[in-house]
Amino acid sequence: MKIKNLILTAILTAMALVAFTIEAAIPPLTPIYGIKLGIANVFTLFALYALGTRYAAALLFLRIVLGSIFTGQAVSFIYSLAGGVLSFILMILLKRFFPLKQVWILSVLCAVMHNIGQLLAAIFMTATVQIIYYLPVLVISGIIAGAFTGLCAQLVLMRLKKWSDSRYS
Amino acid sequence: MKTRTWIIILSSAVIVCAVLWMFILNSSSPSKIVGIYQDGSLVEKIDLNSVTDEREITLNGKFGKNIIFISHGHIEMKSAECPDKICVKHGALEIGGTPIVCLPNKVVIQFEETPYGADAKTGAAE
Amino acid sequence: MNFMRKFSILFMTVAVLFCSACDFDSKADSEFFAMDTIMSITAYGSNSQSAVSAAENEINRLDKLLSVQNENSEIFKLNRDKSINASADTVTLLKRAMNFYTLTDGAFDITTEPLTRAWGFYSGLEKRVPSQNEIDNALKTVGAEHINIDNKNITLDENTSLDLGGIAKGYASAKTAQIFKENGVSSALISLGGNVRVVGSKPDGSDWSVAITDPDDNSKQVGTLAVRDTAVVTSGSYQRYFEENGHIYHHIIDTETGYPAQSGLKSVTVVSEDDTLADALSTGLFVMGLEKSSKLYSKNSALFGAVFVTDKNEIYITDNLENRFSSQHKFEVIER
Repeated sequence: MKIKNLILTAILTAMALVAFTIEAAIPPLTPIYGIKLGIANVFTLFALYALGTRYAAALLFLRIVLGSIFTGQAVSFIYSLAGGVLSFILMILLKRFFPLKQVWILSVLCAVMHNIGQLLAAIFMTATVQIIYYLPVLVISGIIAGAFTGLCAQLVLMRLKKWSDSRYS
Repeated sequence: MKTRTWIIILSSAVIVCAVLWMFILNSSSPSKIVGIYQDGSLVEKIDLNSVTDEREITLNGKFGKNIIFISHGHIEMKSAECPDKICVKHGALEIGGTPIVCLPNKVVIQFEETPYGADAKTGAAE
Repeated sequence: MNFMRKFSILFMTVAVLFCSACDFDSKADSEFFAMDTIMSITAYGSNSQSAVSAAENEINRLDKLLSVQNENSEIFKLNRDKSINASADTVTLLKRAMNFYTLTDGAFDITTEPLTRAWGFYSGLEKRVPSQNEIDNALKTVGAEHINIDNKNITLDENTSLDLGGIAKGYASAKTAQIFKENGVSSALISLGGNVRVVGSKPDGSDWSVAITDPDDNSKQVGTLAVRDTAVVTSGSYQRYFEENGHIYHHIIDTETGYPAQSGLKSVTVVSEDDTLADALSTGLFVMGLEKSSKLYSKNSALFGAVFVTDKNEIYITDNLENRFSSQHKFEVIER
């Protein structure tokens, strides 16, 4: 672990937290629980491509734990963790198939996976299988939100290509 | 894979999900889970949509018997030995309607979830 | 060593989070019978269980104190002996009732017991139209001037009797809300026989949605109100009535005439942070009718808001509810 990367991860985590907290303060766009943009995901994606798996994992975990504390919604911790871990596993497994120009596609797949993870957690927590009916909506919202956040991360990464080239594998 | 292939895959996924969602919205019937309470404690919880055979439940209270009649999607107070019989006159339990109440024998029959899209309703129970 | 330390910190953080998760999620509810109707209370938060049982005890205590029909209640004894040494609760409530009598110009009245009895609107009595003679006799005993409060000593004029049915539930819901606040419950829903009271916001932070029953069909609604920390009380002619010779007689008696109020309204819903006021005014405004109520509102718009349903099924709301009321029907706004 280089000091520089460590500091960068810390800054990115702080930024992700700010994004997460602001987003949590905005009233939900739809009456369906669990639909949101997930801007914090931009930072996870960025860290994954720019810094590597270990740093991205640290960022994600810290963001989920601290985010749950900051927004005061401990219940959402379980949902965030389920969705976050599942989508992150998918992210590191598939990363090598997606070059920089296709980051947004990886983001879409991860966002859908994230929503599926949250749905599974919700089914487990509330013990009601009927929630599975929300799957189609959550897939659609995952695709839209994932494309948006993925594109954000991708554009930043491409602008910083020169800088990230040395680390990008 | 090419970006174009991915776009095709993703947009078809959106379309399939949208169709599926429309289908779910149209087909889902409101749940009809009903709770029967006596003196504040739950006697029985029934999903009226899953009832196939007609049956009766008899409850004993201070003012005699209450007989509840249940069939598919339907529940009513068939007879009561209390003085005013308001619960029998109430008829079947309706979605969004007032609960069936027998004040003398402290029996309440109501939907477990508020089906009228609000958290509470004023002026309903008297 | 380093790893163990990191791990234990992580473990403790997660453990603390899970505990607060349990607290956040905990919900307590109770449904029971008191004051001749069903009480249903639901509270969210860590202290909700003890708060709900405390509230239940308080409501039962008030019921025993204020019931017209319970032979051990202070009100029953007052009606029988025409004089008692009353508890603080009873004195407070009677004083407030006198204030509402003045505020509504006599439309809200707690001395209606003889009239309500004559019409048979008590359980165990037969509902009927009384003779004009009976009504005239009862009317002589009606009016707040027949109540005398001297510190704790309350006396009634001969033949005057009290019925706190139009205000007791409001007082009980105010007390319940107070108990919840003292116990740190920040989110609760109280329904005392159709008198709704919400504490704080919903657990997810959004407004509570309270539907107003359609007077013509109990299964439908006139509209909904989005509220927090408020009492919502409806009085309507549909709630208790009987039919005789093709006429419908309801339970809200006008003390001017001694007959069920014919004010052109089917129901009045009052929204206020003051539960007791909401309960009393819902009856008072019903008796006063739309026009007089609008005048009362223009002078007291800070105290309450109201939704009226007229005999012609028109809906009127006061302008301070414009942002809270939603309905699929057309409605008019009463400017203050």
